[in-house]
Amino acid sequence: MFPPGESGERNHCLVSGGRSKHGSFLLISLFALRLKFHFPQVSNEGDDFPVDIEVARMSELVKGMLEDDNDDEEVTEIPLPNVKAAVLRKVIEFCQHYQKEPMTEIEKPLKSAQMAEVVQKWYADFVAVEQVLLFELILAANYMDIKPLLDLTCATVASMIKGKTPEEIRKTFNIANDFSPEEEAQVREENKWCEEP
Amino acid sequence: MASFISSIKRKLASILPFPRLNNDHIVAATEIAPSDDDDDGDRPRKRQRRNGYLPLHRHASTASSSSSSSFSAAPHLLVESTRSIPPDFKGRSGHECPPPPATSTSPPSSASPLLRLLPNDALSHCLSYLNTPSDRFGLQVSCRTFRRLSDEEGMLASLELGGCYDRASASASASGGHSRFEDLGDDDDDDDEGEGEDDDDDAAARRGGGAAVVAVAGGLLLPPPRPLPPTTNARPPRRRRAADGGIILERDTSVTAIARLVKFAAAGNMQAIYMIAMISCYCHENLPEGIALLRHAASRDHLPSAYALAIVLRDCRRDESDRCLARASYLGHAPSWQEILTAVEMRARFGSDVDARGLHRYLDPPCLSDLLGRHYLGSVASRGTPPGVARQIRIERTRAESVQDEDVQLLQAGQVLQ
Repeated sequence: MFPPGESGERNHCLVSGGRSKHGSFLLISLFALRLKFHFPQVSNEGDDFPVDIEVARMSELVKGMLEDDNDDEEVTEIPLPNVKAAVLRKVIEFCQHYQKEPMTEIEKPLKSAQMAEVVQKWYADFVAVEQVLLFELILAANYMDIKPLLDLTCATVASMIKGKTPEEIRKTFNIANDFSPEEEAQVREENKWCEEP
Repeated sequence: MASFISSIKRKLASILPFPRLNNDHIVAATEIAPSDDDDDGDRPRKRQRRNGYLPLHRHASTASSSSSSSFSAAPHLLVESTRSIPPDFKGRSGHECPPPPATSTSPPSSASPLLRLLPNDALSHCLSYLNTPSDRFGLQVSCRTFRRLSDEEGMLASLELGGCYDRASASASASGGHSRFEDLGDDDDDDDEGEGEDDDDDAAARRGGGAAVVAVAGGLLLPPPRPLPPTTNARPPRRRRAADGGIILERDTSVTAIARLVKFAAAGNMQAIYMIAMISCYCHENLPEGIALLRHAASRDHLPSAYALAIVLRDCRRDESDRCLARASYLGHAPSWQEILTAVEMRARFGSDVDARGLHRYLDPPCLSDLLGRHYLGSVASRGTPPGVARQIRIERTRAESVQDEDVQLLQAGQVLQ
């Protein structure tokens, strides 16, 4: 991040999100100094985050908006109907850390069920959150098109499945068995070759 | 300040979609239900009863974010906070996010936040990290959505089907089994000049896997091939499968193996195409199909296919064979170099220090070798033994083994007595 005034104002942007009648939105200005979120229903005062423009550009969605936005308007409004403040805060946190320490590429197939063995510790700790927040992070990463974050969060879900029996998978994600007994027997028989002995 | 906040909260509550949608839903239900009432017997009665008291109950409960709401959007999210995800949000690809068609009809599956929240493309991305056979079983059996997503082309195309040699030798040695490839591996461990030896053995194994190669190459020149038994026998279930983890099981015949492989080959899995091609060539002597498949895979730079095609065509289409070998060796396929270079040149190029484990990847998938070996042992055409004699040989072999076992037992008993 640039200290204010050192690198010039054009290196920073202002992003603010909030909920209006039309849902959340993200405001970006190339000429302002701070990235600002304001969610009136979350905190009374709103939350301010200073953010480098490179961080905002990690989102392909935002990047596309910045490139398309050739006219010299100071503020661009991007509707974000599905990103909550808490989630957006995590997203920004990820993007900021990614600038300092890029995440190692996650191999396919996943080589371990422990995320700490797949990515650096910070990233493993970052995704050690409850399931619903993790899924919302996936939705946000998918929507804002931040590939490293999408990879990390999806690999985390995969790590929760890896090495588990069908029963354990159902239990982990609270999934109901929607096969009839005959169907299940048939599917088991069909996949007998890949069943662990 | 506080009143300002509370007015904002009130406004927000009026904007939030959940209560209003829930009310709409219930109103709709009350409007529709009476018209159904007269039609059939049992179900309408239930509906009527529900209409009797449930709407009131619902109206009361929507305010306090009921967990019994039939609306599928995240009851516990409502508990957590009132600004939840709008229900009509769709993923970037435009897929309806929570309920995929198969699961939307069954109410229990929507209880899973994973299936309810994530769109299909995000779920597919998650599962793409799990394209290994052992995880495939879990995905296929756990629920319909996972089964459907794990049967998508991308997953099928990149799945490893052949099984692995390390596990194979481990399980075989544990069960006292004995296979050609463990011999090979053992040789290499002992032998410093492993590569040349290994590749000779590999080629020999390939040729031996059916004496078929000769017949295959000749088959192009001689249009009507000899009528052959169409399938490979499944191995009697007495022995355990040496190749653990491959898609072709001990009890598979060549026909059932192909039936299982077709789905993967259709999705573009090169290994599956290669295996079907080899089974077609070596077991069924269906040369046109086998060679066409090998050509298809070789044209996509699947090196084992290019090598096998070169071997198959060596005696009748030398040009194509040489081209395949050149391409495969250019891309670093050691057995192809072995065909081109002499032993001395091989040693000069690759050195004499070769790791046997590294060479395993140039062998056929263990389960395929197993099937081809089974075919060779059972095949009259390739071995020239009449069926009755072959059966007799097999019976005698098992008898000999059991006698050996008895000898060993007697010996052990004798040692104990002494």
